[in-house]
Amino acid sequence: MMKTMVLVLLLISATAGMHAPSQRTNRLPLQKKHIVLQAPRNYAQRFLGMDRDTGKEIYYDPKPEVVLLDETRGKYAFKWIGYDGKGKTVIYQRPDSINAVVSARIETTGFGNSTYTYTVENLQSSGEELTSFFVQNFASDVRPAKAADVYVGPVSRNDKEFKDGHWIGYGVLNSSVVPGRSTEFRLESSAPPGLVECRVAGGPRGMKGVGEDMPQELENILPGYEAWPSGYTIGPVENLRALSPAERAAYLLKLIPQFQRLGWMTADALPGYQRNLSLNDLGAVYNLAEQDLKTGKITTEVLAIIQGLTH
Amino acid sequence: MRKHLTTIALLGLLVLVVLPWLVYAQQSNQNGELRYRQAIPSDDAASREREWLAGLQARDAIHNKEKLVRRTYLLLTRYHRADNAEKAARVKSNHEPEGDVQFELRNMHSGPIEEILDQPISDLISLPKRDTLLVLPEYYYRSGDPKHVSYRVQWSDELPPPPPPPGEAAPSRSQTDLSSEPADAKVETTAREFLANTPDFSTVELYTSYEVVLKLAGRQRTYRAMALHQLGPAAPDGTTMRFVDGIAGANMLSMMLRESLPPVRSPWSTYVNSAMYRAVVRAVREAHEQHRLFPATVPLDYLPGDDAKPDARDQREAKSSMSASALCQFLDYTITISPRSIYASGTFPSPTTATVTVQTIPAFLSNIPVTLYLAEIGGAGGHSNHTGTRPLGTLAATQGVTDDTGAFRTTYTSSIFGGQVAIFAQVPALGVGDKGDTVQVGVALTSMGAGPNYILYHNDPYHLGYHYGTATALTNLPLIANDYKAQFYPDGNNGSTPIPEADKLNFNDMSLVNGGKFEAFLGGQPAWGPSVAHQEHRVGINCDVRNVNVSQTRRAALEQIFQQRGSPNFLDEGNHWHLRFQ
Repeated sequence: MMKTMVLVLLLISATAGMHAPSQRTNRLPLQKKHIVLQAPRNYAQRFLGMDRDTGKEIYYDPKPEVVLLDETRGKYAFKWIGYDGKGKTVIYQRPDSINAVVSARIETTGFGNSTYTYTVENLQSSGEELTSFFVQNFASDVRPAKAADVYVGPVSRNDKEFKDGHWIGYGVLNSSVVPGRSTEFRLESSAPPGLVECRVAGGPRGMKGVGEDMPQELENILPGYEAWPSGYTIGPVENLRALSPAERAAYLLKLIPQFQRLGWMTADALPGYQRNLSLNDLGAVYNLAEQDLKTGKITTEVLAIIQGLTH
Repeated sequence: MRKHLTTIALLGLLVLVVLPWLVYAQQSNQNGELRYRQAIPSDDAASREREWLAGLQARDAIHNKEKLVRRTYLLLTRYHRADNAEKAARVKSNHEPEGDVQFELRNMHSGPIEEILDQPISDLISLPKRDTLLVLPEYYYRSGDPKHVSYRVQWSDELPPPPPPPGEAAPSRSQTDLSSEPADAKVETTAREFLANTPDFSTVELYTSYEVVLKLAGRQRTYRAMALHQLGPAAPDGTTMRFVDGIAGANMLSMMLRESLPPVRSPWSTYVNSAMYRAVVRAVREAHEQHRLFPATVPLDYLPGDDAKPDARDQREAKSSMSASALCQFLDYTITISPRSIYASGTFPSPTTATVTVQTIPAFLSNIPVTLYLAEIGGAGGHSNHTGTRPLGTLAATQGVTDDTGAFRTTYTSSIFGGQVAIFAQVPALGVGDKGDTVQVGVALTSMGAGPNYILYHNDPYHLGYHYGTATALTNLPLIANDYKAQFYPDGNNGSTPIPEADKLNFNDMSLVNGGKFEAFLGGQPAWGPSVAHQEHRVGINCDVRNVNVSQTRRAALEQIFQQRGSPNFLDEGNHWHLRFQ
């Protein structure tokens, strides 16, 4: 009898253990676009000069090529025939040869200000070290924190990936954030947190030239910022302050399914929030969030947004 | 005593008479003339007189050369006046003289070429980035007679703007307003280096430098130019003088000096049937036959035919010509290019071709032979003083005949170089001279202005303006410089901390004014595509940032700034970064 009870208890415990992962949050890694790099099919012959005898223009075939060198590390050889007739090679590093998870938390620092701390984890499965982290915000008083071996500064808005809001860029100036390691970036603002976008890049910046420009058609196939892995995190959003309680509830209600897709909220926690928010009961939502964070049903990002909207 | 006195007298005679005679005899031996020697005191005055005379002759020679320089500009004014008057007559309006190009030459100075060779060329002449002239001849012709000519003169920026780069909006009016930018480039290149490849430069003996006040169509520009005078006697056709004038155009001025055709008189349709036309044609023919293009004493702006006076024979010929009205039917043609703005080849956006149409007037003249040819416009597209022949693009057909509608059409394909190209037609069967039109090749780019935290580095005297770019590039480059300054020279509590001049970022090669191929300056005179050259820099999205003043400890941060300011795919080329804005 005793043996049977022990077996039943073990079975229950094992079953509970099997279900446990689905009841806890698991942040989604930043997403990548499927971008294939191929040699240009159409390209111009290269102008070499004028024939002294005939006065005609002299062109030659630069034969541009793209060769994949290392898929895991995202390294390609861009090859062509140079003006001197010799083969030229520039090594291109894809920015998306990195698998990263971004988590964020907020701490109040007094005078109504908060410190936003972003932890970027370079997963073991990555091919390269982390070099850049860009994060969006919609506030006018954002002050990014400087740190040793990190460049921090604004990002230009004139690329379609960064046209909305403001973007802060952090550049890791050494190779310390290798696969399996993580790092933190901080900023301060008085604005409450909302859902914002972020992007990362891995591997060495830029390319080493070979003394002459590569054929224009080869440079044209280099992907831009669209190739940087992207996802969501939290960041200062000034205009959330101006929302009425009903609008705040509606804002949260709209975000809840996305929280689940991002791995910031478990499926079983979702109905409780939907129920309370549909009743505009923000106090109950905050109490629920505090409990759920302790049990791992939501992440720090969800609690921060709820806290910002209910306080 | 008497014996002594006799000896003294003989010696005195020797000194006073015989020795001077011997000197005279020795001096006369050479060529029978008395030759003065400076060593003999009594010759001083004559020597000074000779030197003075030689100086006077030299001053006269210089004065004549300076007059020839002034004459050249006056001729351009007169030919342009003829063009304006004829255009006004065609639309039956009055000719407005203030619309004629005017040149005022002042502060003229001449001297031996050696005295300027080591001076920076941009101190001597203006190296224009903008505000240059486009000058095109228009010929008028009646079968069998010498041609008449007029010159169209306009500001080069009055041509239609080139199309914007792909993905970019056309520059707004404010973006293209360059009036706040310096019109001329400053370079350190010496006159010796700059002029070294001028044809026959080794025979240049004198120079004349001067300031020009140019007025045209309500705009004014003051600039510096120069004329180079070669050894040997000055010929009336000016082949011993070369101009170095980047605004009016060196080749055009040389052509102006050699121009031997009478100016068009307006209205041409009336004049061509007049006794005066006959008199001018006769005068020009006689002058050619007698090799007497310019009478000895004429005004400085004299043109062939100015002194023609109709006689009875001219009156008779004009009358018979008028009576034979069928023979004087006005035949003409037009040449048009559509579109008038296309991209340079090799940059991939299209179109890179334009249709050239030659249309007869009246429009039913079929099977009329037409010949087309391309012509270079000096300094077009920002390329200056290159060696060799400029690639101008290609015409699908350079010869053909008009169709039933009196039209001949062919396709022009641009070359890889940006800038205006002139396309001329010859239709001799119509008795009308060559006519041309221009096509803009390239892209519309905007000049980068000065900024507090960067230097627009310029060391290329053969590309006088190469800091042109797209709006994206022009937005991000100053931001890069500002971020770099903020990172390494942050403002303190007590105010701003300026970045030292030596540490400012140096923005070197971007794109030329119309984009297109930009062959890099590598210390020598470019020859339309040397073997090592920029392959990019054609559509305004690139900039080379020199790294000579960026220490190793700052480079990683600067490269991160590039990434954050629109250039994620830059190249480290050893001595510079090659940026490429998205």
